[in-house]
Amino acid sequence: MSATVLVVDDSATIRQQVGDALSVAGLSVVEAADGVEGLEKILAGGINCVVCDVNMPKMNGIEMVAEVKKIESLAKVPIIMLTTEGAKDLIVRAKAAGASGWIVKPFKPEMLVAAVNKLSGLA
Amino acid sequence: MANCALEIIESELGRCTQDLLAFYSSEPEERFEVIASPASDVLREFVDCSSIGLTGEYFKLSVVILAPRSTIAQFCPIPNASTADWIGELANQLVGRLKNALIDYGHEGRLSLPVTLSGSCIQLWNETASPKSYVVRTARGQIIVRLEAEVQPDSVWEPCENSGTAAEGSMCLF
Repeated sequence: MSATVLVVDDSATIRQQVGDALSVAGLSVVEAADGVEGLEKILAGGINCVVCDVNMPKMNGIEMVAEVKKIESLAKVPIIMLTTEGAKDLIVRAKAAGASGWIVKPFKPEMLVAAVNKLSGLA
Repeated sequence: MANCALEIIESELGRCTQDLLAFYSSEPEERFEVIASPASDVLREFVDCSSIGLTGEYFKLSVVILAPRSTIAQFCPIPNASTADWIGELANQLVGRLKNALIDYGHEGRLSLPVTLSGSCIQLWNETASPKSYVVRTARGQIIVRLEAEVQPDSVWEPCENSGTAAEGSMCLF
């Protein structure tokens, strides 16, 4: 059974680009357009890994990570931030909130797939 | 110092534009002409346009990127994707790069969310006395990148080492 990855980004094109890269690698993909929708999808269960933007409407990515990590049963779900942001203080904040990794856009699909596989225990 | 700061911002925006479009170009050997231009910023074709702001303690700026749909589509990694969505993401990635570049001069900022619209005969109005426009000429059309920036006159803009900014395309796992 393949892992299911939740892709959270307010750009439909980025969601599709990430989803295509993960699907080609044999992973199942679920999408959300902001942090609130992302949190709902994680709470619904069945998510093995999350790829999440930072700057989004309604709830940003770091806030979403913090909310997920408050829930004991979901605390071990790895969350990779995929963002244009490269500022050190944001990376530190994301790590403190419980994020598992940080990739600065634009991304190479093979790098993203390797990170998802590694953090999901598939590599 | 403000003039120096504006020159830094303008120069970095030109470089960021070049690098971003090179990454997404479907033609690996494509060459871009990035020209600082006093263009009237009117494209009479049907265009997609996105604006995003970056605000720091000593500066505020906005960047507008606009181009015909056929041109934007050439820089989109997904065939038949929404060009309106993609130009918003391009604006986000462009100003994200600029934000990271300015951290290397000691200035942090906050990005706004992109605002995107589509239409024809879109004309950009000046909010500041001297907006800077770049016309990026590609083999498949032109893209206009427009910068308006205000900088506090007594602010200091000098390269700083070890800002710790993560580079575009880089990854770190915790």
